[in-house]
Amino acid sequence: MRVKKRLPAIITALCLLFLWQIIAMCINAAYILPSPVQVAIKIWELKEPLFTVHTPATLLVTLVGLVISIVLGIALAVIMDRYEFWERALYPVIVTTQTIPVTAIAPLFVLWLGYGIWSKVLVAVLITFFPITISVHDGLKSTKRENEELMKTMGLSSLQIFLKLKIPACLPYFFSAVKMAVPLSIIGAAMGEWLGAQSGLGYFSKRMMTQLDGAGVFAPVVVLAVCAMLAVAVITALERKLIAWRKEV
Amino acid sequence: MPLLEFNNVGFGYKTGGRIVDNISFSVEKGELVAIIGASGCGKSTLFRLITRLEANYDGSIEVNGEPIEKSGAIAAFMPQKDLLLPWRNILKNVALPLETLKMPKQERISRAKNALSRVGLSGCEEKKPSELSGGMRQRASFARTLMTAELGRELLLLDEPFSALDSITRTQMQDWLLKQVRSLDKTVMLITHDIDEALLLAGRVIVLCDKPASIARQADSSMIKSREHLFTPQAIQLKEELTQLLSADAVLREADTEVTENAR
Ligand SMILES: Nc1ncnc2c1ncn2[C@@H]1O[C@H](COP(=O)(O)OP(=O)(O)OP(=O)(O)O)[C@@H](O)[C@H]1O
Ligand SMILES: [Mg+2]
Repeated sequence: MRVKKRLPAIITALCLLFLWQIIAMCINAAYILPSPVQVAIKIWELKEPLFTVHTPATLLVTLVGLVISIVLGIALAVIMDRYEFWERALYPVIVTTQTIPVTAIAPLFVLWLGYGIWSKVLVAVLITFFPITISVHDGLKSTKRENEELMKTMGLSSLQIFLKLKIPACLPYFFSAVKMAVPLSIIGAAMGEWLGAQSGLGYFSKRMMTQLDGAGVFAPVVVLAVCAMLAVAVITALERKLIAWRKEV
Repeated sequence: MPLLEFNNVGFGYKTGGRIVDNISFSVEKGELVAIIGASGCGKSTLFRLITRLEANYDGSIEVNGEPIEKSGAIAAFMPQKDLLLPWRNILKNVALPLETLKMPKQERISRAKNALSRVGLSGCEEKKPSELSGGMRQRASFARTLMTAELGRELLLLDEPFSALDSITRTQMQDWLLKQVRSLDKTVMLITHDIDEALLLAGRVIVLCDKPASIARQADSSMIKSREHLFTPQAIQLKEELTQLLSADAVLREADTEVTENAR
């Protein structure tokens, strides 16, 4: 049943891969467009450095970036939900930060924070903390005032109302935000590495670029995409478990 | 001494004009009082004052002879919509008010189960609100109100408990509520815009009219104790009078909205 539902998507993906293979074979220049088969072979050849050094490096940056974003995002969202003053003070500023082209100023971070992981973490955080903050904030605001008032008449404290009403109502928003943030965080990490690093998939891809190794550029990109897909799948499974009630509404 | 007493109460929300004015009535312990009035006239607003969701009213509201601010919460409030939490099952929804008390979980559950069987929802404990019909949800909401009442609240405030139901279910639920209320040892205030419902369920009917709303009439309806009594000459006469009051008010309201719309 589940496979059947996904069959159209799988077929489409296979067709695209096939098309890519054909075009690459026509061009016949791996430094311009390597074929999927060439990329797959490359991944196999480079499995040692790819999977023992560079993938863990990138995933570490992604994870640290995500954790910081989530903690920061939730904290800001809760403060803005609780205190109207802070909402008015912070919300417009947070929205404005989104217009800053992180990509353009990212080289500065390397200057400030060096070639270690923190310059990359900063890129990842700047890209991901916004969607998380805004979504969690929307989630907290999504509860109906009537529900809150009813709980007040029952004699529940505002902390209890927060725990029993706001947090459960917010969970679906939180999960969709994290699902959006995971790929963004990986992109942010890779972008940071591209700008200057000693390890990581972004760095690896750039090094292959300088060697005009087309398949070598694609190999880490494919690994990145697979990591993102796996992470989103894990989160989706968790989401299904925690907020099963949502489907029934 | 009355359980609840309004003296010349007036109130308006911060954002708008006056909603109610010159409201004076009292409710004795054990009474069942209905409030009727046109939609939007301010019935629910009175409940918001009694549950102290709103303050800054004029006049005085007293509970057992003391200002309402000085007495603890007296009311268990059943809102117009069921407002059941979609992520909690029925049992946990009903047990919610008990979570204000320090009480072993086991006891909370057994009390909520009792309330559910009382309203005829045994077997639905594990179901989510979305799996119940409208009438069942209203009954679950009533059971939750009973749990709130167990926190030592003397007064039940029922805000149009059956407005969301079709007329057949509604009739059933009215009979059901009558039985429930008679077997409970509580004071009840009931909002409705259905005259029959008010006369049938309540011992006294308060009619709100005008804008801002004030009490146009308080009618004794204690002689109507069952559905058959609704057709005695006395009841028909009373119904006639109340209908006239309300429809005169409706005409007034319509004229009022026309004026404001023309002014725009
Ligand atoms: N929280 C609020 N803030 C501002 N205005 C409100 C609020 N609640 C109600 N009102 C206004 O007060 C008036 C009376 O509302 P209320 O809910 O008391 O009417 P009601 O008699 O209960 O109507 P219905 O029968 O439709 O439930 C309405 O005009 C409404 O717009
Ligand atoms: Mg109302």
